[in-house]
Amino acid sequence: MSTPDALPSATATPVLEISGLDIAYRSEAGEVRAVRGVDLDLHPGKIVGLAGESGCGKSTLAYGAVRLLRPPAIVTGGSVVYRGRRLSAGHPDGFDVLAAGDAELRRLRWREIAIVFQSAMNALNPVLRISEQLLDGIRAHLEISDEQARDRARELIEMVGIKPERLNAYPHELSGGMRQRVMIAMALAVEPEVVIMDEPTTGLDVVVQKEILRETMALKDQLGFAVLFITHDLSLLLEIADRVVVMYAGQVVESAPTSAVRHGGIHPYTRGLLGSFPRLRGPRVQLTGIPGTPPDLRGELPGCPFHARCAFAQDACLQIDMRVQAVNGAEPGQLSACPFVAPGQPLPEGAVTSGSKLTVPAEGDAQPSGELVLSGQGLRKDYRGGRRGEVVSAVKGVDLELHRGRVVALVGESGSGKSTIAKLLSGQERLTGGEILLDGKQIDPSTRSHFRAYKKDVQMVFQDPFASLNPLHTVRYHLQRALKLHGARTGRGHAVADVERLLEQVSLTPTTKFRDAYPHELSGGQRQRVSIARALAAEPRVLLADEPVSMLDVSIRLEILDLISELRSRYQLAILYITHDIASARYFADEILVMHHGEIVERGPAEQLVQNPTHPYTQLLIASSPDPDTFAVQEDAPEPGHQVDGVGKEGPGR
Amino acid sequence: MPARSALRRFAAGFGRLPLKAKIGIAILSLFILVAIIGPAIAPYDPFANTTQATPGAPNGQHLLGTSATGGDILSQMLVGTRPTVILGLVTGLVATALSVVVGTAAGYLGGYADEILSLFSNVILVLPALPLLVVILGYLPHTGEVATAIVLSALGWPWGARVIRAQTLSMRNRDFVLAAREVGERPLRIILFELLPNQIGLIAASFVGTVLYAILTSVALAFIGVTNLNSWNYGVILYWAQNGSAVELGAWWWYVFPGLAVALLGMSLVLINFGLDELSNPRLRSSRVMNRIGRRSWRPADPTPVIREGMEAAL
Amino acid sequence: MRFIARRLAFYVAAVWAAVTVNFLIPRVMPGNAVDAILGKFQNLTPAVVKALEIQFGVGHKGSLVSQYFQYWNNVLHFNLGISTSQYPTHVSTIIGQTLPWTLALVGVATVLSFAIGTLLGVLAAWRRGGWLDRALPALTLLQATPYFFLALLVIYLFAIKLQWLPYGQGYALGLSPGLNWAFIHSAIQHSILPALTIIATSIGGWMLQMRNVMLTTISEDYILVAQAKGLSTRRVMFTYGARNAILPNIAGFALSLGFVVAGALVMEIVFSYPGVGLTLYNAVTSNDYPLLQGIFLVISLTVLTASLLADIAYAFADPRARSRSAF
Repeated sequence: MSTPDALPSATATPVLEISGLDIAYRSEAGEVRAVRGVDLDLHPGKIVGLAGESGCGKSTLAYGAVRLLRPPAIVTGGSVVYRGRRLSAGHPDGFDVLAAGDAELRRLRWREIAIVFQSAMNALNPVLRISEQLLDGIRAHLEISDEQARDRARELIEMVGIKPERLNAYPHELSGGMRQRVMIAMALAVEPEVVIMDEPTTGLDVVVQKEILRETMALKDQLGFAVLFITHDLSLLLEIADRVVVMYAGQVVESAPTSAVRHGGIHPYTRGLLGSFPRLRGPRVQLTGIPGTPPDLRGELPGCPFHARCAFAQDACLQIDMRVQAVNGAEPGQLSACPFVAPGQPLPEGAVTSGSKLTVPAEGDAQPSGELVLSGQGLRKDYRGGRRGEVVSAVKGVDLELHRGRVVALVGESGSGKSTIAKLLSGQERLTGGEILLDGKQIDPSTRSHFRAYKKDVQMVFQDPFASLNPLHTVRYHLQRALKLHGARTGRGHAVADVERLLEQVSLTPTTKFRDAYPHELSGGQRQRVSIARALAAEPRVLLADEPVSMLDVSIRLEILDLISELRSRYQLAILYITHDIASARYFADEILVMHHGEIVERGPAEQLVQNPTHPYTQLLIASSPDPDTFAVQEDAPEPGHQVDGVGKEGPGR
Repeated sequence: MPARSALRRFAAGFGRLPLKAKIGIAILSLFILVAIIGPAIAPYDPFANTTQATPGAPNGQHLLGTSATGGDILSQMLVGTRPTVILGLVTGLVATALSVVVGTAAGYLGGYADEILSLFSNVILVLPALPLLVVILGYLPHTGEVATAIVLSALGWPWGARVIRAQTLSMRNRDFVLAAREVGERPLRIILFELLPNQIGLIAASFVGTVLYAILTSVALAFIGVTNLNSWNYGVILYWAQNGSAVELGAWWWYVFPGLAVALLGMSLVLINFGLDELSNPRLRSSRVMNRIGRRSWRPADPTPVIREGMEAAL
Repeated sequence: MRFIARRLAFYVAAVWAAVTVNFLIPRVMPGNAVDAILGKFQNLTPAVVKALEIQFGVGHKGSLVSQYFQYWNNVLHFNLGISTSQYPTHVSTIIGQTLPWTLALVGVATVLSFAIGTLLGVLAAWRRGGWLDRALPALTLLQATPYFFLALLVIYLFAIKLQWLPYGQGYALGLSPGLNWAFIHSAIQHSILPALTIIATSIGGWMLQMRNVMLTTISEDYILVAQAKGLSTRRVMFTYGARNAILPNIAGFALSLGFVVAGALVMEIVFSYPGVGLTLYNAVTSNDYPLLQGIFLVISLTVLTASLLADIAYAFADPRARSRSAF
């Protein structure tokens, strides 16, 4: 294995060369051209980060390049050439992946190009032991004895920081982080020259994510493979990639050395994406996000596909040829598909930003504190669970106060108990201990007698906008039911006008367009707006928002946060914002509570807490969060690979 | 809703059904039509007896032949369609209603209610139904369609209940159900307006499956004589055929026509369920897309096809 | 092994239900068919009368509870009463003679049908649009055909018209059952047609089920991973695909056994095969209630045992079931 040279070697031959690749999905409704003429090179020892939002074609590109896509997907053009050292004797001009047959591809797969699949997906066979799944990959490619194969498996599993005894485990006996480590061990089992990583840490907690990434980087340096790292999280790429490729609507819009992207990127879409991530450092500024939705990929897209959402759009955009090229004033190796926008060019006057104006309180957290509406004192929730029916405490005595006009963020990892708090406060679950006070009076929202009256004041917005609306009912039905159930008490009539009013409140205008739509006709952001409108129907004073944006694409998250923030100001709502993302909490909240293992470990004004965390867990959380401004130069990585017993360790799989 | 637009929606819905379901519905409609007008158009009295001693082959007078005692098979079938179809549909309705009630109750309530209801339905499910039916009906003094329908319904609901329970369970904690509760909807309304409409496909499939079960089982029961032999249905005709040694005598028409009728009726139901399956699970749909790509069959391990412009023929 | 413990508890409940149903039916049914029988047989010994009383609850000897316990006691001692149609043979003796025939025929045919059907289902799913996949709807239509109707056709065609194989009875007349070649040969010959009919009618169902689950399994990510690993097609298909897809099928097998067996019993009647199905038929036609109930009980227990075995197989096939705390 060669050690990678320190300089970006643009001239050296790439180990995998994708050029002009076209991939389409053929269906009855027409052909969806998901990948359109994409060029991409991978070099040994280098990480290319492929970024873009859902549906941009990044995964299709990667799987299509190794011909793992299934019909109706077909490759309709371009070439993919692999030039690994092991194959150079038999294929002097490189291995033509698109011309290869079944048997030839089987030799290419894993031995030469391995894939680390997304952790949230069930990439491990549930009925086979880990060892068997490692071994069959080894045996399929290496002619070695049983003994040697077993040694290799043990070596691999130790390499990713798992004890060799766990080889006998079944996948369901491992935590999500461990499963992902196993996946990485599997991918490296036969020393491939290219490793494709498809959202390898999505769905994992930030602390675990950080650990796994650090280990992966160390292994890459040690073994010298090339990496194609696919993620929707551009800020993550800024930490680890050598080169960043940004895709939009099946095309590459920008390809640049990571440092250049860190300084801002050129293409308006790249800039929009960068502007969609709340930061942990620097001033708290109003962020823009990207207004609008991606285009339909059926049929031709003349010119630049981004022009409909672009602040710099001009008529000429529809005529350009989408090819990345060097732009004046760009850094060396920085290529953009937009010939009109130069690096650092300011946004044009009157550019469309994400709807609302500056709604986030600018500096400090000196928001005048409104009256106290809802508070929880010593909230406890025990579940009878576990193998032998022992009691598990999800929430262990939490105090919190929600004041009108203020946003309190509850930050924690999965399993910290933060969602349980939402369920307790919304009355979905019964308290084990402590009490809930509404306007200073004790109330048990989970009892039938209190529930309805309580709902008048306290409403909830759900995490998944695709699941929180009944697919069989129209927007109007959803809103009218809410109005009817709450309006009956206040004696308001005119349901039609009220539906319009609600839709306007959440900026779903013109209302006639959305009123009679079914949920599947709306985008994720629009559905979340409907969901919020439904919560507003009761004219509540408290809004509980449980991860309201985590299921949405990055570019529209800010729109929704800004909307909630605006509603807070307009109606003096008290808001509990529950999230795993401390940066968005800083962006949006007045006060932050950090939750860990069912307890609040630290609380304080948002800015102060993020800048000067005192509790070790908060410090770890902040250090682990990907942040475009603080890329991992502080390589404080101790001996890589053996960090499983850190704070981020999870319990066994559920 | 105005009747006409409801009708149009119904027609549009039918149009969207897979071909298999359409064929199935057409055949089933034919049987229902015969069930309605059958007795009126039967050319002979099905009970008619002659002194002949051997079954008569189909001829101009008796299109489907006669039994050993000279009964006209066609008339017996035309008269016997009604009880067979009614028994199937009534049992299907009652059993499906039971399975919806038990399934949603178990799934929505959870906890001990679920444990008990599930245990109960699983126990009924694993007990061999036919021998149990034989035993129960054997004791009833006047075994007839009503008793058969009651016992079949009582034993026929657990399968559907199981499926509906599983679906309810998976939907009960979906966000839209929680959201409806959040809005203040009452449990009954949540079940009726949020949960059940999302299970229509499942309930329909369960209904069709139960009708099939009821028809096949009732015919089998009649065939072994556990029925009222003074009325006609397909099973009774077959019972007499078996009793009259139709097979040994070579009187194929005696059992082939009623048997085929049952098979056809069953087939229509199976076809409808195929269609419903395809509708709810697109993965099962026959791969018309493959034809578009230029292949008839495809294996999951095949590499992604490469089809460049003008290369379609190369595959 | 909580899974198996829970399943065992379930089967205990099911056995209890089967026995209790059997106890209750004669007591809750309108009319008193048994009085009629007692009337028919004047010369019964007192012991037989007592047994009938316990079994059918006539004569009001003791409370319902004590009758219930006596009934259980009898069942546990395989004392299922005395047949009235084959008086004075014990019901347990009759069942003991006929059950082996049924177990051999129905058991083997059902297991074969399940195994072959499952394998064909895997193949049909693997090659979407292949000839097997396209033939599948036709095969499943056989399910809609009444078992006995198909049996009649088979007899007419293969036994009467073509005279390829014998039918009726379990073996040729004149042979004595035992471990001799002539008997075994004859028994196998006699079982081929009924077995084939059972397989033909039930195989489509297993096949369709397996194909549908397999199609869902194929789109799982671990299949894609196996493929990306460059494993042989056979390993991807069986170890990764079928190995997972068969799990719900085994569970389904355990549950639908009662249904499948019922059809096979009717088949015995048509073929005059000397198993419990035919005996059940004879019991019905001669109003032999003790025999009827005994057969129901034995069939129930046999089916429950088979389901339990399938469940245990499931527990061994699915590591998640073994450690799952609740299901």
